[in-house]
Amino acid sequence: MQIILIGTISGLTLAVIGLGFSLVYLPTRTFHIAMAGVYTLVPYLALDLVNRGASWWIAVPVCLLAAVLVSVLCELGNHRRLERKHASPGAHIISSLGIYIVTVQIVALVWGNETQVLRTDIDKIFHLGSVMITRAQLVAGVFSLLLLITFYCWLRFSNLGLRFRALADNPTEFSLRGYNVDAYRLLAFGTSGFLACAASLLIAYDVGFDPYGGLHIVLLGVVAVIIGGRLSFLGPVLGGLLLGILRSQAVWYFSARWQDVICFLLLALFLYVRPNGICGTATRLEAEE
Amino acid sequence: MPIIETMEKQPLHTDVRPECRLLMRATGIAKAFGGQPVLTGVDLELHEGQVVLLQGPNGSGKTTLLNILTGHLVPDAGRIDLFTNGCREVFHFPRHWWQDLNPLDRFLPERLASKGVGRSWQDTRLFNSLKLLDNIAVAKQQHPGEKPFNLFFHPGRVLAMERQLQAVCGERLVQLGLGGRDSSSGDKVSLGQAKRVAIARAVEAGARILFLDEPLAGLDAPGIADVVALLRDLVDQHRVTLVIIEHVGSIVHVQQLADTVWDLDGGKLTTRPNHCIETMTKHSLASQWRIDRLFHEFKLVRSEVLPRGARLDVYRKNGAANSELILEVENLVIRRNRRPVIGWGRTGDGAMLGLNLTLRSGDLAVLQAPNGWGKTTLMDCLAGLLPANTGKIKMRGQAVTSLLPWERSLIGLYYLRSDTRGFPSLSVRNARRVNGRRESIRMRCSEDRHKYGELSGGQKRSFQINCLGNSRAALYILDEPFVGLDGMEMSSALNKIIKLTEFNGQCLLVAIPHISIEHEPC
Amino acid sequence: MNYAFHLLIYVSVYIVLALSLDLVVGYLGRLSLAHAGFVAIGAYVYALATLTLQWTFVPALLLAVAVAIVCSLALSLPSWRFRGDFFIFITLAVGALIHGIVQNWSAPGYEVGSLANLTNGPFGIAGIPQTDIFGIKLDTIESKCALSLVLAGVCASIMYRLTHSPWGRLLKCLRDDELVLRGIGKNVRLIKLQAFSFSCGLAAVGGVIYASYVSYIDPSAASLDESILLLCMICVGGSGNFRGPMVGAIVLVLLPEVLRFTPIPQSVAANVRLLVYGLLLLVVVHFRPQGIAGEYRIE
Repeated sequence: MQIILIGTISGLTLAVIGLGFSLVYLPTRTFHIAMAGVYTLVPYLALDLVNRGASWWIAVPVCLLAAVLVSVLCELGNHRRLERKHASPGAHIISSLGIYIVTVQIVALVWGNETQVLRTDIDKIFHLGSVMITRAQLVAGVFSLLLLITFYCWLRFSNLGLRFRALADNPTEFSLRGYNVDAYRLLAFGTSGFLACAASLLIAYDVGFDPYGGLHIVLLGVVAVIIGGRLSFLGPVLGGLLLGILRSQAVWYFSARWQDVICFLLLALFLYVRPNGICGTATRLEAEE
Repeated sequence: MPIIETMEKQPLHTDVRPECRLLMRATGIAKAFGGQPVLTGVDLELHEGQVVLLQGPNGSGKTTLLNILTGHLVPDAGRIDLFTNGCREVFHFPRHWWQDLNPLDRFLPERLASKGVGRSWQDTRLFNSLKLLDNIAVAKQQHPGEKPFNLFFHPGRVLAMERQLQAVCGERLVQLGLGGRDSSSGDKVSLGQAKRVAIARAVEAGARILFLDEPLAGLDAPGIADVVALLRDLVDQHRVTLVIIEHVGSIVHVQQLADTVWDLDGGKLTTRPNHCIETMTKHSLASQWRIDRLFHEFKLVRSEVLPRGARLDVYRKNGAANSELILEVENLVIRRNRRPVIGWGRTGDGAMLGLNLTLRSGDLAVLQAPNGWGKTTLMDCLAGLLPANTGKIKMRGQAVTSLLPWERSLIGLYYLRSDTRGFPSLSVRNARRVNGRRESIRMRCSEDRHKYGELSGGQKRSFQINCLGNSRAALYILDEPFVGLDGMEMSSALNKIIKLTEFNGQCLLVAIPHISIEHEPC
Repeated sequence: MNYAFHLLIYVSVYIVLALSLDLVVGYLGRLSLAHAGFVAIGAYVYALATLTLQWTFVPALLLAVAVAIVCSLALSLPSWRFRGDFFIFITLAVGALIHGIVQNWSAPGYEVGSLANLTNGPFGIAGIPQTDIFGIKLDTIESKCALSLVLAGVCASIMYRLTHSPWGRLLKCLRDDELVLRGIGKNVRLIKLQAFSFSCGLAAVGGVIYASYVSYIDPSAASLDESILLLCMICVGGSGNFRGPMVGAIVLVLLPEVLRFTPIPQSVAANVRLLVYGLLLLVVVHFRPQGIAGEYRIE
């Protein structure tokens, strides 16, 4: 039971990351690898602010703002320019990779290469029945759940959410109906930055952070998206939960080092049997049109 | 003005010889897309040396059938027997899952191609990073140079074959009239020449049955003559079996060649010999498009013949006041892959002549052009989805060439595209909300809950026309709006479109497929 | 003088790696971020073969190439089904998987090379025996340099033969229009399999040269940073022809040497180097998609 709870919590955070990725992928079909750069930057910024005496109530919003700004800059400075030139997806991915590298190296140059932690005290432990859970994990679980629920309510019930779904379905048709596609893309990137920041802070608060863990976690988030169904907004949640629970089982039965290998094996299985994920139709994705 | 001319019965020089070798037989082919059946039990046979014309209304499944018979699409049910290689190959559908595990026994295009089933594509598709010569050379089957083992251990064999191949392909190019052009790449030759190279490529790959998907699309008169000559040559000299899909406007050019006609309609195929050319009469075609209605309420103001077989007719409603200039297009040239799609001939100083078009409010312009002419390209460019190479576009006096599609939409352009994809994952009600800025007239309420993507093609089209009817724009651009609608739906659609002209300040540009048989020389 | 030989060895290793990656990126048209993983596979197999099995250079090299070719199935099988950005993601995952395996296949207390501790984890495998070709031991840097140049030359000529041949022509067609190529009866799946096999096999050769020179291999050779460096070489130098990857390899190997002369402290040199790679990628994508000397534009 303990394992399943821990797995669910880590799955929820993975779902948040995956959702951040999906938010950019579905409307724009861009692989936003640079999100890992945002993910890396945020805890360092938070730590810096806290060390200079700012309280968490200031540091967190500043970080959220910074994350949104950096993500929006990715779109404004990079992807929009490539879109205007009708660049191939390869160009988008390589440039996103370039942004990721530049961001991570700047972080490493400014703040150093070592692992850091956001909290210095021993964590409180709560008992829920027979399960033990630390405060950091509880916070992570609760906040992730709240974020996800808020997002899905917004997507389903608000006007803006409806238009966002329309954009994800058919960007050309959307622009022909008079909606400012560029602004909606900025919204997508900005929200993705917001979610990445939230997930990053939650995980950093729990286990610490270093400049190189970002890509790894985003990779897991993308695996969650693919397993859950990359063509649907609900995919990240399903994939994230499945992945989280499976990883924690792997840690229990094998060892922590093999959880990634198991993760990728699961991905391979899904790609072979059901490439469109849990949420998608059972068609086989052939390499032709 | 007559739109259609009925052709006389003409005897043909080839006749069916059923005792010829059977090459392919298909029985009970069925295919449905998302619940909508396209083919419901198609039976056909192909004999050696036969030339078949596959015709049918738009959306009847001709391309689907072509894709199935060439291995690009797996049918839901049926059976295909192939006898091209002397021995018999059978494919049963639906295939069992364990059959697909066997890597040697799969229903794939390359498998059928190696058995002599070849095809050409509607948009030519040459390999652009290869020279023309290499385009044909690459089709050679069983080239030793294509196995890396031979590259390193039998270089002599590879070199010998390559030399021989270069000579043979050089000759082919000369036969096609492209003598000194073997080192040009695919995008530097004219469309007609490119199509012929593509057909030569398919033949070089050993095709005994060649499926041609609209081989005359987008060609001018000399290009058409060249392609038809090549096809005739293939039939007479090389005894290749041809199956030609051609659009109703260009059928006349290939009708002389064909000895059999396959009519595909309502998911079923009927075979008949091509002794008499039954063309669609003025009544049946016009009633298909209900264009005859236009003549009652509208008056033809001007008619312009455009190169490559298109025609622009501008109508005005009886009694409408002359007014504001809404659309001005000056010298518009649009290129795709360096080949001009809109743009013809050259003036004295080498510049290309572009399209000129003016529309005033109250105008209803109908652009008739054959498939592949570039109607969709033109409309996409006007709407801002494609860049124009040269030329100016102005709406209500304002230059729009630098505006994005959504900006053009906000200044009064409404573009209805020919594909009905829409917003598949939204519910119908939500799709309507996104399409119009306010709650509009109800469609049948029972559909509101369904996802838009679950509607049939005809329903989607009706939905789009409904949204069209509730919009307020200055310039409406409609790309083949009647495709997929049945008689009653088409009537109602036409009504809505005509109603659009009742408000002041609107003008429409409608593209429809070519319905006239006569071909003006360019 | 030794330093010049050292550089020459590195240049020749990276020329082999860049050319082999270009087979997939420039000719086949698929971006791969897993290439460094196959370099590491080659290096690790060579190290284990010479260390634990006591094989000499040539058999160990052949074994390394064979293992890399078998592992290339992890890339060629997905390439049958996926393309474009999806495929890039899969290569990312495969690269991370290989990195994870070499990083984690260790158990303290067990001998290096045994089944429990195959790769010695983050400590890497040290003490790779001296290169032994048919009894001749290569212990001077000049001889090692000569070996690496010879091997690089052999690999380059293999690549040249492959790309300037009917098979290479098929690759270009595959890149242009895969569906049409299938329509003229070519076995596209086999072609992809062959392309990835050659690419990964040659990458393994590069890894072997590296391992035999440095006598030490650790998991960082399989890291994403290395794959990004290789991709950078292709993007900056150019892809789709013979000169481009070589130019890219030379430029990007000599770049850190240039950085030595700038007043950047040694501790941050690695970060600055990577920063420059990232900036180069951005510059190339936006302003010169065909790289310095390439033919195929990644745009």
